[in-house]
Amino acid sequence: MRYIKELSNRNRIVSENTCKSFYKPSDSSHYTIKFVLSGVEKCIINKREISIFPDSFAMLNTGTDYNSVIDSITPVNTISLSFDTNFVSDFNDAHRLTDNALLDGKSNQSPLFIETLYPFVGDIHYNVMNLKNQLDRGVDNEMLMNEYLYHCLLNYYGVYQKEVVQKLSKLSFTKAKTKEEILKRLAVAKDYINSNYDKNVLLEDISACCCLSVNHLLRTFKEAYGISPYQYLMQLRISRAKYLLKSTDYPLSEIVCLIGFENTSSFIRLFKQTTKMTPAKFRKEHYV
Amino acid sequence: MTEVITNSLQLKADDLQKALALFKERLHMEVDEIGSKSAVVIQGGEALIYLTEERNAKPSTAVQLTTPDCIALYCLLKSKGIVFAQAPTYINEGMVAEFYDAAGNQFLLIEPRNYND
Repeated sequence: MRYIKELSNRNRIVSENTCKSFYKPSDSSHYTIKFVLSGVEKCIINKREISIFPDSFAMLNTGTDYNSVIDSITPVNTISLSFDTNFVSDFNDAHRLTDNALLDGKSNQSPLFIETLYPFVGDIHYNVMNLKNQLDRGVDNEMLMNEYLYHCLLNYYGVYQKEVVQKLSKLSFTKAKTKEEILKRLAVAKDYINSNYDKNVLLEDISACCCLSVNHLLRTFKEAYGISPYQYLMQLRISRAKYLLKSTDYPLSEIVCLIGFENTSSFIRLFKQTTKMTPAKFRKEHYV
Repeated sequence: MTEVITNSLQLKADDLQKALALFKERLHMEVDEIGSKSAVVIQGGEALIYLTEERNAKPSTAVQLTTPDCIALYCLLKSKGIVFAQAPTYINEGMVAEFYDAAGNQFLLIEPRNYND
Protein backbone atom coordinates (compact mmCIF):
# COMPACT_ATOMS: atom_id res chain seq x y z
CA MET A 1 0.00 0.00 0.00
CA ARG A 2 1.45 3.35 -1.04
CA TYR A 3 0.24 6.80 0.07
CA ILE A 4 1.49 9.93 -1.68
CA LYS A 5 0.59 13.44 -0.60
CA GLU A 6 1.89 16.31 -2.72
CA LEU A 7 1.47 19.67 -0.99
CA SER A 8 0.90 23.00 -2.73
CA ASN A 9 4.46 24.13 -1.89
CA ARG A 10 5.73 21.04 -3.78
CA ASN A 11 6.80 19.25 -0.62
CA ARG A 12 5.80 15.61 -0.63
CA ILE A 13 5.06 12.79 1.82
CA VAL A 14 5.27 9.16 0.69
CA SER A 15 4.28 6.39 3.05
CA GLU A 16 4.49 2.73 2.11
CA ASN A 17 3.86 -0.65 3.65
CA THR A 18 5.09 -3.38 1.34
CA CYS A 19 7.18 -6.55 1.01
CA LYS A 20 8.60 -5.78 -2.42
CA SER A 21 9.25 -2.51 -4.19
CA PHE A 22 11.73 -0.73 -6.39
CA TYR A 23 11.65 3.04 -6.52
CA LYS A 24 13.71 5.45 -8.58
CA PRO A 25 12.60 9.07 -8.41
CA SER A 26 11.62 10.52 -11.78
CA ASP A 27 13.00 13.93 -10.85
CA SER A 28 15.72 14.69 -8.32
CA SER A 29 14.75 18.27 -7.57
CA HIS A 30 13.90 17.50 -3.95
CA TYR A 31 15.77 16.90 -0.73
CA THR A 32 14.52 13.60 0.67
CA ILE A 33 14.65 12.19 4.19
CA LYS A 34 13.96 8.46 4.26
CA PHE A 35 12.72 6.73 7.40
CA VAL A 36 12.04 3.04 7.98
CA LEU A 37 9.58 2.29 10.78
CA SER A 38 9.86 -1.50 10.58
CA GLY A 39 12.04 -3.85 8.54
CA VAL A 40 14.86 -2.70 6.30
CA GLU A 41 15.11 -0.73 3.06
CA LYS A 42 18.17 -0.78 0.84
CA CYS A 43 19.14 2.46 -0.80
CA ILE A 44 21.68 2.83 -3.59
CA ILE A 45 23.07 6.37 -3.52
CA ASN A 46 25.49 7.20 -6.34
CA LYS A 47 26.41 3.48 -6.60
CA ARG A 48 26.95 3.18 -2.82
CA GLU A 49 24.58 0.79 -1.05
CA ILE A 50 23.27 1.51 2.43
CA SER A 51 20.62 -0.23 4.51
CA ILE A 52 18.16 1.87 6.47
CA PHE A 53 16.95 0.27 9.70
CA PRO A 54 14.36 1.71 12.13
CA ASP A 55 17.13 3.25 14.28
CA SER A 56 18.46 5.50 11.52
CA PHE A 57 17.34 7.70 8.65
CA ALA A 58 19.01 8.82 5.43
CA MET A 59 19.26 12.32 4.00
CA LEU A 60 19.51 12.71 0.23
CA ASN A 61 20.43 16.01 -1.36
CA THR A 62 18.69 17.59 -4.31
CA GLY A 63 20.18 16.26 -7.54
CA THR A 64 21.32 12.97 -6.00
CA ASP A 65 20.85 9.90 -8.14
CA TYR A 66 19.41 7.14 -5.98
CA ASN A 67 17.01 4.26 -5.92
CA SER A 68 15.54 2.23 -3.11
CA VAL A 69 14.72 -1.46 -2.89
CA ILE A 70 12.52 -3.39 -0.48
CA ASP A 71 12.64 -7.17 -0.62
CA SER A 72 11.34 -8.80 2.53
CA ILE A 73 9.14 -11.66 3.75
CA THR A 74 7.42 -9.39 6.27
CA PRO A 75 6.02 -5.95 5.27
CA VAL A 76 8.41 -3.03 5.53
CA ASN A 77 6.93 0.23 6.73
CA THR A 78 8.59 3.35 5.33
CA ILE A 79 7.99 7.07 5.16
CA SER A 80 9.82 9.60 2.96
CA LEU A 81 9.63 13.34 3.31
CA SER A 82 10.64 15.27 0.20
CA PHE A 83 11.32 18.99 0.39
CA ASP A 84 11.32 21.30 -2.59
CA THR A 85 14.74 22.89 -3.22
CA ASN A 86 13.40 26.45 -2.85
CA PHE A 87 11.70 25.53 0.43
CA VAL A 88 14.99 24.20 1.85
CA SER A 89 16.95 27.22 0.56
CA ASP A 90 14.51 29.64 2.22
CA PHE A 91 14.51 27.58 5.41
CA ASN A 92 18.30 27.45 5.38
CA ASP A 93 18.58 31.23 4.95
CA ALA A 94 16.04 31.92 7.68
CA HIS A 95 17.97 29.77 10.13
CA ARG A 96 21.52 30.66 9.26
CA LEU A 97 21.56 34.28 8.14
CA THR A 98 21.33 37.37 10.28
CA ASP A 99 18.30 39.64 9.95
CA ASN A 100 20.39 42.21 8.06
CA ALA A 101 21.68 39.67 5.57
CA LEU A 102 18.13 38.45 5.02
CA LEU A 103 16.90 42.03 4.43
CA ASP A 104 19.74 42.55 1.93
CA GLY A 105 18.49 39.50 0.04
CA LYS A 106 21.80 37.68 0.39
CA SER A 107 22.36 33.97 -0.18
CA ASN A 108 19.41 31.70 -1.14
CA GLN A 109 21.85 28.90 -1.89
CA SER A 110 20.86 25.27 -1.84
CA PRO A 111 22.72 23.65 1.06
CA LEU A 112 24.55 20.37 0.57
CA PHE A 113 24.29 17.99 3.50
CA ILE A 114 26.46 14.94 4.11
CA GLU A 115 24.46 12.05 2.67
CA THR A 116 24.69 9.48 5.39
CA LEU A 117 22.69 7.66 8.03
CA TYR A 118 21.68 9.75 11.03
CA PRO A 119 20.29 8.45 14.34
CA PHE A 120 16.48 8.34 14.30
CA VAL A 121 15.91 9.37 17.91
CA GLY A 122 14.55 12.30 19.90
CA ASP A 123 12.25 14.97 18.48
CA ILE A 124 12.52 13.88 14.85
CA HIS A 125 11.38 10.38 15.91
CA TYR A 126 8.43 11.76 17.89
CA ASN A 127 7.35 14.08 15.05
CA VAL A 128 7.60 11.44 12.33
CA MET A 129 5.67 8.93 14.45
CA ASN A 130 2.96 11.53 15.12
CA LEU A 131 2.78 12.33 11.40
CA LYS A 132 2.53 8.61 10.58
CA ASN A 133 -0.24 8.25 13.14
CA GLN A 134 -2.23 11.03 11.42
CA LEU A 135 -1.68 9.44 7.98
CA ASP A 136 -2.89 6.07 9.30
CA ARG A 137 -6.03 7.79 10.59
CA GLY A 138 -6.64 9.20 7.11
CA VAL A 139 -6.06 12.83 8.10
CA ASP A 140 -5.46 14.91 4.98
CA ASN A 141 -5.01 18.43 6.30
CA GLU A 142 -2.43 20.48 4.38
CA MET A 143 -1.76 22.94 7.20
CA LEU A 144 -1.07 20.06 9.59
CA MET A 145 1.15 18.21 7.10
CA ASN A 146 3.14 21.40 6.46
CA GLU A 147 3.62 21.93 10.18
CA TYR A 148 4.98 18.38 10.61
CA LEU A 149 7.32 18.82 7.62
CA TYR A 150 8.59 22.15 8.92
CA HIS A 151 9.33 20.58 12.31
CA CYS A 152 11.00 17.51 10.77
CA LEU A 153 13.33 19.76 8.76
CA LEU A 154 14.01 21.84 11.87
CA ASN A 155 14.77 18.63 13.78
CA TYR A 156 17.07 17.49 10.98
CA TYR A 157 19.07 20.72 11.34
CA GLY A 158 19.44 19.90 15.04
CA VAL A 159 20.65 16.36 14.23
CA TYR A 160 23.02 17.76 11.57
CA GLN A 161 24.50 20.18 14.09
CA LYS A 162 25.19 17.33 16.49
CA GLU A 163 26.29 14.67 14.02
CA VAL A 164 28.25 16.80 11.55
CA VAL A 165 29.12 20.28 12.81
CA GLN A 166 30.14 19.11 16.29
CA LYS A 167 32.07 16.12 14.91
CA LEU A 168 33.92 18.38 12.47
CA SER A 169 35.15 20.48 15.35
CA LYS A 170 36.61 17.38 17.01
CA LEU A 171 38.86 16.54 14.04
CA SER A 172 42.41 17.77 14.47
CA PHE A 173 43.02 19.12 10.98
CA THR A 174 43.71 22.74 10.25
CA LYS A 175 41.95 23.13 6.93
CA ALA A 176 38.14 23.14 6.97
CA LYS A 177 38.02 21.38 3.59
CA THR A 178 40.22 18.53 4.88
CA LYS A 179 38.01 18.13 7.96
CA GLU A 180 34.93 17.95 5.77
CA GLU A 181 36.46 15.41 3.40
CA ILE A 182 37.61 13.20 6.30
CA LEU A 183 34.20 13.36 7.98
CA LYS A 184 32.50 12.42 4.69
CA ARG A 185 34.76 9.35 4.48
CA LEU A 186 34.13 8.49 8.12
CA ALA A 187 30.40 8.73 7.42
CA VAL A 188 30.89 6.21 4.60
CA ALA A 189 32.73 3.95 7.09
CA LYS A 190 29.91 4.29 9.61
CA ASP A 191 27.27 3.56 6.96
CA TYR A 192 29.24 0.45 5.93
CA ILE A 193 29.22 -0.80 9.54
CA ASN A 194 25.51 0.06 9.89
CA SER A 195 24.64 -1.83 6.72
CA ASN A 196 26.88 -4.88 7.34
CA TYR A 197 26.62 -5.21 11.13
CA ASP A 198 25.25 -8.75 10.80
CA LYS A 199 28.30 -9.96 8.87
CA ASN A 200 31.93 -10.51 9.79
CA VAL A 201 33.03 -6.87 9.41
CA LEU A 202 36.78 -6.54 8.84
CA LEU A 203 38.69 -3.34 9.47
CA GLU A 204 40.37 -3.75 6.07
CA ASP A 205 36.97 -3.81 4.33
CA ILE A 206 35.82 -0.64 6.13
CA SER A 207 39.13 1.02 5.30
CA ALA A 208 38.84 0.08 1.61
CA CYS A 209 35.26 1.31 1.27
CA CYS A 210 35.98 4.74 2.79
CA CYS A 211 39.39 5.21 1.11
CA LEU A 212 41.31 5.76 4.35
CA SER A 213 44.25 3.67 5.49
CA VAL A 214 43.55 1.44 8.51
CA ASN A 215 45.67 3.62 10.80
CA HIS A 216 44.14 6.84 9.50
CA LEU A 217 40.64 5.37 9.87
CA LEU A 218 41.27 4.22 13.46
CA ARG A 219 42.71 7.58 14.52
CA THR A 220 40.15 9.86 12.86
CA PHE A 221 37.14 7.64 13.74
CA LYS A 222 38.07 7.81 17.41
CA GLU A 223 38.62 11.57 17.17
CA ALA A 224 35.22 12.21 15.62
CA TYR A 225 33.03 9.67 17.40
CA GLY A 226 34.97 9.07 20.61
CA ILE A 227 35.04 5.28 20.08
CA SER A 228 36.80 2.84 17.75
CA PRO A 229 35.01 1.29 14.74
CA TYR A 230 34.92 -2.05 16.63
CA GLN A 231 33.31 -0.44 19.70
CA TYR A 232 30.82 1.29 17.39
CA LEU A 233 29.97 -2.07 15.79
CA MET A 234 29.44 -3.69 19.21
CA GLN A 235 27.22 -0.81 20.40
CA LEU A 236 25.19 -1.09 17.21
CA ARG A 237 24.76 -4.85 17.59
CA ILE A 238 23.61 -4.49 21.19
CA SER A 239 21.20 -1.70 20.26
CA ARG A 240 19.70 -3.77 17.42
CA ALA A 241 19.52 -6.83 19.68
CA LYS A 242 17.53 -4.69 22.14
CA TYR A 243 15.16 -3.66 19.35
CA LEU A 244 14.61 -7.32 18.35
CA LEU A 245 14.16 -8.39 21.99
CA LYS A 246 11.55 -5.65 22.49
CA SER A 247 9.63 -5.98 19.25
CA THR A 248 9.80 -9.67 18.24
CA ASP A 249 9.39 -13.06 19.85
CA TYR A 250 12.41 -14.54 18.05
CA PRO A 251 14.38 -16.95 20.24
CA LEU A 252 17.64 -15.56 21.60
CA SER A 253 19.74 -17.92 19.47
CA GLU A 254 18.13 -16.47 16.33
CA ILE A 255 18.67 -12.87 17.49
CA VAL A 256 22.32 -13.65 18.19
CA CYS A 257 22.65 -14.90 14.60
CA LEU A 258 20.73 -11.94 13.12
CA ILE A 259 23.02 -9.38 14.73
CA GLY A 260 26.18 -11.12 13.55
CA PHE A 261 27.39 -12.81 16.76
CA GLU A 262 28.78 -16.31 16.41
CA ASN A 263 28.55 -17.26 20.02
CA THR A 264 25.50 -16.88 22.32
CA SER A 265 27.47 -16.83 25.56
CA SER A 266 29.81 -14.05 24.41
CA PHE A 267 26.74 -12.04 23.33
CA ILE A 268 25.08 -12.53 26.75
CA ARG A 269 28.31 -11.47 28.47
CA LEU A 270 28.57 -8.28 26.40
CA PHE A 271 24.85 -7.56 26.77
CA LYS A 272 25.11 -7.87 30.56
CA GLN A 273 28.20 -5.66 30.59
CA THR A 274 26.48 -2.83 28.71
CA THR A 275 22.88 -2.99 29.97
CA LYS A 276 23.46 -4.45 33.47
CA MET A 277 20.87 -7.17 32.87
CA THR A 278 20.51 -10.40 30.90
CA PRO A 279 18.75 -10.41 27.51
CA ALA A 280 15.92 -12.49 29.03
CA LYS A 281 15.35 -9.97 31.81
CA PHE A 282 15.52 -7.10 29.30
CA ARG A 283 12.85 -8.77 27.14
CA LYS A 284 10.64 -9.38 30.17
CA GLU A 285 10.79 -5.71 31.15
CA HIS A 286 10.52 -4.14 27.68
CA TYR A 287 8.60 -6.51 25.41
CA VAL A 288 5.88 -4.61 23.58
CA MET B 1 -13.18 15.48 20.78
CA THR B 2 -9.69 16.41 21.91
CA GLU B 3 -8.04 14.33 24.63
CA VAL B 4 -6.14 16.42 27.15
CA ILE B 5 -4.88 16.08 30.69
CA THR B 6 -4.64 19.14 32.90
CA ASN B 7 -2.71 20.05 36.00
CA SER B 8 -5.23 22.63 37.11
CA LEU B 9 -8.61 21.59 38.36
CA GLN B 10 -9.96 25.04 39.12
CA LEU B 11 -10.24 27.97 36.78
CA LYS B 12 -11.84 31.30 37.56
CA ALA B 13 -13.31 33.40 34.78
CA ASP B 14 -14.78 36.85 34.51
CA ASP B 15 -17.28 35.57 31.97
CA LEU B 16 -18.15 31.89 32.33
CA GLN B 17 -19.75 31.51 28.90
CA LYS B 18 -16.71 32.99 27.16
CA ALA B 19 -14.42 30.64 29.07
CA LEU B 20 -16.63 27.64 28.31
CA ALA B 21 -16.59 28.40 24.59
CA LEU B 22 -12.96 27.28 24.44
CA PHE B 23 -13.75 23.83 25.79
CA LYS B 24 -17.15 23.38 24.09
CA GLU B 25 -16.64 24.88 20.67
CA ARG B 26 -12.94 24.62 20.10
CA LEU B 27 -11.81 21.58 22.02
CA HIS B 28 -15.20 19.81 21.52
CA MET B 29 -15.20 18.67 25.11
CA GLU B 30 -18.23 17.76 27.19
CA VAL B 31 -19.26 20.51 29.59
CA ASP B 32 -21.76 20.22 32.43
CA GLU B 33 -23.07 23.58 33.63
CA ILE B 34 -23.96 23.76 37.32
CA GLY B 35 -26.23 26.73 37.78
CA SER B 36 -25.26 29.97 36.10
CA LYS B 37 -21.95 30.59 37.85
CA SER B 38 -20.04 27.32 37.54
CA ALA B 39 -19.39 24.43 35.20
CA VAL B 40 -17.37 21.26 34.91
CA VAL B 41 -15.39 20.14 31.89
CA ILE B 42 -15.75 16.39 31.61
CA GLN B 43 -13.48 13.88 29.91
CA GLY B 44 -14.03 10.13 29.91
CA GLY B 45 -16.86 10.51 32.45
CA GLU B 46 -14.60 12.29 34.94
CA ALA B 47 -14.39 15.94 35.96
CA LEU B 48 -11.29 17.51 34.41
CA ILE B 49 -11.64 21.23 35.15
CA TYR B 50 -13.99 23.18 37.42
CA LEU B 51 -14.82 26.61 36.12
CA THR B 52 -16.38 29.31 38.28
CA GLU B 53 -17.48 32.81 37.38
CA GLU B 54 -16.01 35.49 39.59
CA ARG B 55 -16.14 39.18 38.94
CA ASN B 56 -12.69 40.71 38.36
CA ALA B 57 -11.13 37.28 38.66
CA LYS B 58 -7.38 37.27 38.09
CA PRO B 59 -6.44 35.18 35.07
CA SER B 60 -4.81 31.83 35.81
CA THR B 61 -1.32 31.22 34.58
CA ALA B 62 0.22 28.14 33.02
CA VAL B 63 -2.84 25.91 32.83
CA GLN B 64 -1.26 22.79 31.35
CA LEU B 65 -3.15 20.81 28.75
CA THR B 66 -1.16 17.65 28.16
CA THR B 67 -1.57 16.09 24.74
CA PRO B 68 0.06 13.17 22.88
CA ASP B 69 0.55 15.39 19.80
CA CYS B 70 1.24 19.08 20.35
CA ILE B 71 1.48 19.92 16.62
CA ALA B 72 -1.91 18.33 15.86
CA LEU B 73 -3.68 20.12 18.73
CA TYR B 74 -1.94 23.39 17.83
CA CYS B 75 -3.18 23.14 14.22
CA LEU B 76 -6.68 22.19 15.34
CA LEU B 77 -6.97 25.17 17.70
CA LYS B 78 -5.36 27.51 15.17
CA SER B 79 -7.91 26.48 12.55
CA LYS B 80 -10.64 27.36 15.09
CA GLY B 81 -9.32 30.88 15.46
CA ILE B 82 -7.09 30.66 18.50
CA VAL B 83 -4.10 32.96 18.22
CA PHE B 84 -1.00 31.43 19.75
CA ALA B 85 1.48 33.49 21.73
CA GLN B 86 4.05 30.76 21.10
CA ALA B 87 3.97 28.21 18.27
CA PRO B 88 5.13 24.66 19.16
CA THR B 89 8.68 24.78 20.41
CA TYR B 90 11.07 22.44 22.20
CA ILE B 91 11.79 22.31 25.91
CA ASN B 92 13.72 19.75 27.98
CA GLU B 93 10.49 17.88 28.78
CA GLY B 94 9.16 17.77 25.22
CA MET B 95 7.14 20.19 23.13
CA VAL B 96 5.06 23.16 24.22
CA ALA B 97 2.79 25.80 22.65
CA GLU B 98 1.11 28.71 24.44
CA PHE B 99 -2.13 30.65 24.05
CA TYR B 100 -4.48 32.82 26.08
CA ASP B 101 -8.26 32.39 26.22
CA ALA B 102 -10.75 35.24 26.12
CA ALA B 103 -10.58 35.62 29.92
CA GLY B 104 -6.79 36.03 29.78
CA ASN B 105 -6.00 32.59 31.23
CA GLN B 106 -2.67 31.29 29.99
CA PHE B 107 -2.80 27.78 28.52
CA LEU B 108 0.20 25.61 27.72
CA LEU B 109 -0.20 22.69 25.35
CA ILE B 110 2.42 20.20 26.48
CA GLU B 111 3.51 17.01 24.76
CA PRO B 112 5.78 15.19 27.22
CA ARG B 113 8.64 13.35 25.54
CA ASN B 114 11.03 10.87 27.06
CA TYR B 115 14.45 11.50 25.55
CA ASN B 116 16.13 8.79 27.62
CA ASP B 117 14.28 5.94 25.96
